[in-house]
Amino acid sequence: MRLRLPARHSLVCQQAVELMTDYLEGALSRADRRSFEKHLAICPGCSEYLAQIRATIAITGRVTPDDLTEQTRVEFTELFRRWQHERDTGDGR
Amino acid sequence: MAQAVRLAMVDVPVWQREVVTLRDIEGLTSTEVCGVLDISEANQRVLLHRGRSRLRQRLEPEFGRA
Repeated sequence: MRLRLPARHSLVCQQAVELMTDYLEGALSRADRRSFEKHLAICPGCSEYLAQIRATIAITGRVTPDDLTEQTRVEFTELFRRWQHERDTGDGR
Repeated sequence: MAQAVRLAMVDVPVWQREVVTLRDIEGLTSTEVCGVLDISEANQRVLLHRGRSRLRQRLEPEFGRA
Protein backbone atom coordinates (compact mmCIF):
# COMPACT_ATOMS: atom_id res chain seq x y z
CA MET A 1 0.00 0.00 0.00
CA ARG A 2 2.01 2.94 -1.27
CA LEU A 3 0.49 6.34 -0.73
CA ARG A 4 0.82 8.78 -3.55
CA LEU A 5 1.87 12.03 -2.00
CA PRO A 6 0.13 15.09 -3.34
CA ALA A 7 2.63 17.26 -5.13
CA ARG A 8 3.67 20.46 -3.37
CA HIS A 9 1.53 19.69 -0.36
CA SER A 10 3.12 18.98 2.94
CA LEU A 11 2.55 15.62 4.54
CA VAL A 12 -0.13 15.30 7.15
CA CYS A 13 0.47 13.09 10.16
CA GLN A 14 -1.77 10.28 8.97
CA GLN A 15 0.21 10.01 5.73
CA ALA A 16 3.50 10.15 7.63
CA VAL A 17 2.39 7.30 9.89
CA GLU A 18 1.46 5.20 6.85
CA LEU A 19 4.93 5.78 5.39
CA MET A 20 6.94 4.80 8.48
CA THR A 21 7.63 1.20 7.51
CA ASP A 22 8.47 2.09 3.92
CA TYR A 23 10.83 4.72 5.32
CA LEU A 24 12.54 2.23 7.65
CA GLU A 25 12.70 -0.32 4.82
CA GLY A 26 14.35 2.18 2.50
CA ALA A 27 11.44 1.75 0.11
CA LEU A 28 10.51 5.42 -0.34
CA SER A 29 11.43 7.38 -3.42
CA ARG A 30 13.94 10.14 -2.79
CA ALA A 31 11.20 12.77 -3.05
CA ASP A 32 8.90 10.92 -0.64
CA ARG A 33 11.75 10.42 1.79
CA ARG A 34 12.52 14.13 1.72
CA SER A 35 8.86 15.02 2.38
CA PHE A 36 8.74 12.49 5.19
CA GLU A 37 11.90 13.79 6.87
CA LYS A 38 10.71 17.36 6.45
CA HIS A 39 7.49 16.45 8.24
CA LEU A 40 9.39 14.70 11.05
CA ALA A 41 11.52 17.79 11.55
CA ILE A 42 8.48 19.89 12.38
CA CYS A 43 6.26 17.26 14.04
CA PRO A 44 7.20 16.04 17.53
CA GLY A 45 4.24 13.66 17.54
CA CYS A 46 5.36 11.78 14.42
CA SER A 47 8.99 11.83 15.61
CA GLU A 48 7.84 10.20 18.83
CA TYR A 49 5.75 7.69 16.88
CA LEU A 50 8.76 6.72 14.76
CA ALA A 51 10.87 6.38 17.91
CA GLN A 52 8.21 4.05 19.33
CA ILE A 53 8.20 1.95 16.15
CA ARG A 54 11.99 1.66 16.40
CA ALA A 55 11.65 0.72 20.09
CA THR A 56 8.99 -1.86 19.18
CA ILE A 57 11.36 -3.44 16.64
CA ALA A 58 14.21 -3.46 19.18
CA ILE A 59 12.09 -4.98 21.95
CA THR A 60 10.58 -7.57 19.62
CA GLY A 61 14.09 -8.48 18.53
CA ARG A 62 14.94 -9.47 22.09
CA VAL A 63 12.21 -12.12 22.10
CA THR A 64 13.49 -15.55 21.13
CA PRO A 65 11.36 -17.91 19.05
CA ASP A 66 11.11 -20.17 22.10
CA ASP A 67 9.49 -17.32 24.03
CA LEU A 68 6.40 -17.36 21.84
CA THR A 69 3.39 -18.65 23.65
CA GLU A 70 2.02 -22.09 22.99
CA GLN A 71 -1.09 -20.50 21.47
CA THR A 72 1.04 -18.56 19.03
CA ARG A 73 2.95 -21.67 18.02
CA VAL A 74 -0.29 -23.59 17.48
CA GLU A 75 -1.60 -20.79 15.26
CA PHE A 76 1.63 -20.77 13.28
CA THR A 77 1.36 -24.48 12.74
CA GLU A 78 -2.24 -24.13 11.57
CA LEU A 79 -1.32 -21.25 9.30
CA PHE A 80 1.55 -23.19 7.82
CA ARG A 81 -0.62 -26.23 7.18
CA ARG A 82 -3.27 -24.07 5.51
CA TRP A 83 -0.61 -22.39 3.43
CA GLN A 84 0.81 -25.78 2.39
CA HIS A 85 -2.66 -26.99 1.52
CA GLU A 86 -3.43 -23.88 -0.53
CA ARG A 87 -0.10 -24.13 -2.26
CA ASP A 88 -0.57 -27.82 -3.06
CA THR A 89 -4.13 -27.37 -4.32
CA GLY A 90 -3.21 -24.33 -6.35
CA ASP A 91 -5.56 -22.21 -4.27
CA GLY A 92 -2.76 -19.90 -3.16
CA ARG A 93 -2.74 -16.20 -2.33
CA MET B 1 9.39 -6.54 28.48
CA ALA B 2 9.67 -9.84 26.61
CA GLN B 3 6.52 -10.90 28.45
CA ALA B 4 4.75 -7.75 27.23
CA VAL B 5 5.77 -8.55 23.66
CA ARG B 6 4.53 -12.12 24.01
CA LEU B 7 1.15 -10.90 25.25
CA ALA B 8 0.94 -8.19 22.59
CA MET B 9 1.75 -10.70 19.85
CA VAL B 10 -1.43 -12.65 20.59
CA ASP B 11 -3.49 -9.63 19.44
CA VAL B 12 -1.73 -9.35 16.08
CA PRO B 13 -3.55 -11.01 13.15
CA VAL B 14 -1.79 -14.17 12.13
CA TRP B 15 -0.32 -13.18 8.75
CA GLN B 16 0.98 -9.91 10.18
CA ARG B 17 2.41 -11.78 13.15
CA GLU B 18 4.07 -14.28 10.86
CA VAL B 19 5.86 -11.52 8.96
CA VAL B 20 6.86 -9.63 12.15
CA THR B 21 8.15 -12.87 13.69
CA LEU B 22 10.19 -13.84 10.66
CA ARG B 23 11.61 -10.33 10.26
CA ASP B 24 12.04 -9.03 13.79
CA ILE B 25 12.46 -12.20 15.85
CA GLU B 26 13.97 -14.71 13.43
CA GLY B 27 15.95 -12.00 11.67
CA LEU B 28 15.11 -12.91 8.07
CA THR B 29 15.53 -10.31 5.33
CA SER B 30 12.48 -9.00 3.47
CA THR B 31 13.54 -10.99 0.41
CA GLU B 32 13.76 -14.18 2.45
CA VAL B 33 10.31 -13.58 3.99
CA CYS B 34 8.81 -13.05 0.54
CA GLY B 35 10.32 -16.36 -0.53
CA VAL B 36 9.15 -18.29 2.54
CA LEU B 37 5.58 -16.95 2.41
CA ASP B 38 5.39 -16.56 -1.37
CA ILE B 39 4.22 -12.96 -1.17
CA SER B 40 5.32 -9.81 -3.00
CA GLU B 41 7.69 -7.23 -1.49
CA ALA B 42 4.80 -4.74 -1.36
CA ASN B 43 2.54 -7.22 0.42
CA GLN B 44 5.33 -8.08 2.84
CA ARG B 45 5.78 -4.40 3.71
CA VAL B 46 2.03 -3.91 4.25
CA LEU B 47 1.84 -6.90 6.60
CA LEU B 48 5.02 -5.77 8.40
CA HIS B 49 3.65 -2.24 8.73
CA ARG B 50 0.32 -3.35 10.14
CA GLY B 51 1.90 -5.90 12.46
CA ARG B 52 4.51 -3.51 13.87
CA SER B 53 1.87 -0.78 14.20
CA ARG B 54 -0.42 -3.08 16.18
CA LEU B 55 2.48 -4.12 18.41
CA ARG B 56 3.47 -0.50 18.97
CA GLN B 57 -0.08 0.31 19.98
CA ARG B 58 -0.19 -2.59 22.44
CA LEU B 59 3.27 -1.81 23.85
CA GLU B 60 2.72 1.96 24.12
CA PRO B 61 1.87 1.86 27.85
CA GLU B 62 5.21 0.10 28.45
CA PHE B 63 7.35 2.78 26.80
CA GLY B 64 6.74 5.35 29.51
CA ARG B 65 8.00 3.10 32.27
CA ALA B 66 10.96 1.49 30.50
